[in-house]
Amino acid sequence: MRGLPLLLLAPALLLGLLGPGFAPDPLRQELMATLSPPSGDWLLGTDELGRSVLARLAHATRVSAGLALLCVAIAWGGGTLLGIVAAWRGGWSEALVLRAADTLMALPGLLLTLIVAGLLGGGMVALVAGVAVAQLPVAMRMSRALAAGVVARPFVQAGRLAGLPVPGLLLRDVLPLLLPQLATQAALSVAQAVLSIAALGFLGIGIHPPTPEWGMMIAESVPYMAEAPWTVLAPAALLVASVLGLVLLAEAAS
Amino acid sequence: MGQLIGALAARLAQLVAMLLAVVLLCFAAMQALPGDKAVQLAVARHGERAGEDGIARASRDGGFDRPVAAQFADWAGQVLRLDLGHSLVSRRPVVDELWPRLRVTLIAGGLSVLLGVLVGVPLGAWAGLRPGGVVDGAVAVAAALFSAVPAFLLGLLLVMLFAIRLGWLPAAGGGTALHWVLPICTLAVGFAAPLARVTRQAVVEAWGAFPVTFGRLKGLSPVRAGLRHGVRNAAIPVVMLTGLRFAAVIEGFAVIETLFNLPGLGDLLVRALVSRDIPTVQAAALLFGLLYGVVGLVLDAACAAIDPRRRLRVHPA
Repeated sequence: MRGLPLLLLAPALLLGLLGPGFAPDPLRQELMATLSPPSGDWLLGTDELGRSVLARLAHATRVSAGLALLCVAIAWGGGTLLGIVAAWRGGWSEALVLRAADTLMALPGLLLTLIVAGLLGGGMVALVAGVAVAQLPVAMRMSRALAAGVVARPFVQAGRLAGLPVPGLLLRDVLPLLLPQLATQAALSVAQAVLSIAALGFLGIGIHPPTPEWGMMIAESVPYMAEAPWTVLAPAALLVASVLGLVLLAEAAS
Repeated sequence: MGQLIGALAARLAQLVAMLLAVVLLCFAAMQALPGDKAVQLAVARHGERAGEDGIARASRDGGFDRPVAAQFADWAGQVLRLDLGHSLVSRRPVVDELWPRLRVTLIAGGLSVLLGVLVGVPLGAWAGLRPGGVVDGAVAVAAALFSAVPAFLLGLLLVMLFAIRLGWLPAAGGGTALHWVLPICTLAVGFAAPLARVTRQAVVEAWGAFPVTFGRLKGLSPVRAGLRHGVRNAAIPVVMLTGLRFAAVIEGFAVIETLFNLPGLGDLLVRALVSRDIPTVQAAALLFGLLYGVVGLVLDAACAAIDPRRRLRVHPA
């Protein structure tokens, strides 16, 4: 059971890291072989334009996983910084950070993402901004709560009294103590981001075609799912396995 | 009592601030939008045949030719008078479009929450009463799996199975009650999975806690001890999650309604976003925010009713 999360994450990791090197061009169309079922020639079959599902999946994995990691890095990098500074300074800075987090949290997550991403006109920047903003409040609150406990501890206060430079104190002495718990939560955030990006891609608000992305691959294949179920099932299975793997990984770590 | 009123007032103030944030966010994002809004609107209305005068008319109707501050002041004043303006695409009052769609979303959302509770809570409680048992294991696996499947995918898989493979239910559209079965089930399953997990955890904790043990020690049967001293404690996280997920269910409708072609609020929001219909986007987002806020208020009140400790400080940080 201990290896289950890694087993679930393995297909996405392998496909994303190695796939694009081996797989054929994800945009090449074999119009004589549209909607071919999985076989020796096409390991996961082809889609409605005769493009290899496996090749598209390999590229889509890079796009989906890369974007999810980028969103989480932005949200958790920024949120942790704000949270630690708020815990250190207290007073109005802390109140400001907490109220801002409250307000962002009061907005339903996917709705926030939809509005930001949709209004910025789709595309990658809008997508990343939307998903990152939706995750920011959790990062802010959690790092503030954790840092408040650490800041109060004697060694931090000793450093403060000794007149150590504050940025070094916060980054070298406070931050490392928060990392294990923050990393666990951030892993859950990656799963959440993967789901949000896929949902937006499915609605047609995420990435613009023909760049393959998990949610969009599923959406594009919906009209053909009766005669070519593999075009939906392959990206779907990869998506679910990856999300489940991330969630189980976070649970095992906590 | 004074404390309770104070806490409720603070909660209401928070709700108003949140709605204001939604309005501002929508407006700011609309302004930051790339591309000429008048051209996009004209194309959304007339398709490719929108000529110069179509664009000029769209610019005038949308007020795009006026200063940003004036556009915002106009909109904010109208909202206060509950006049949400006219849809830029259909040109009908936005309010008229909202009500029938709100009904669809509320009915389907309410039914799916109800179904989710009816499935999730008993399963979670059953698992929690015998932690480590067969039911516990099965519920844990099912809950983890269904939590990892996004709503749109679950809906698709159900369509593949019940509409295409088996042909028992219609795949999309509205009209008969049968059209509602798949969307409601999709949302209900997505809701029941986390609910079963939380219920299981709450039951394990409440039944292992001192009050239930004490009830057993003073001679109550296990069932009576649990009912008398366990249920209330276990209910708090379950009620909180139900409220939180109700909001997620409303949200999930943005995706599910698009998938199943149900004419609800989420479908309206997505369509309006794609065609850049500003008044409709703002009105739908505002209504979503209001729903979310009202559910939060009801949730706090329900928790206070269950747990007397919370009546002292209704809104813990």
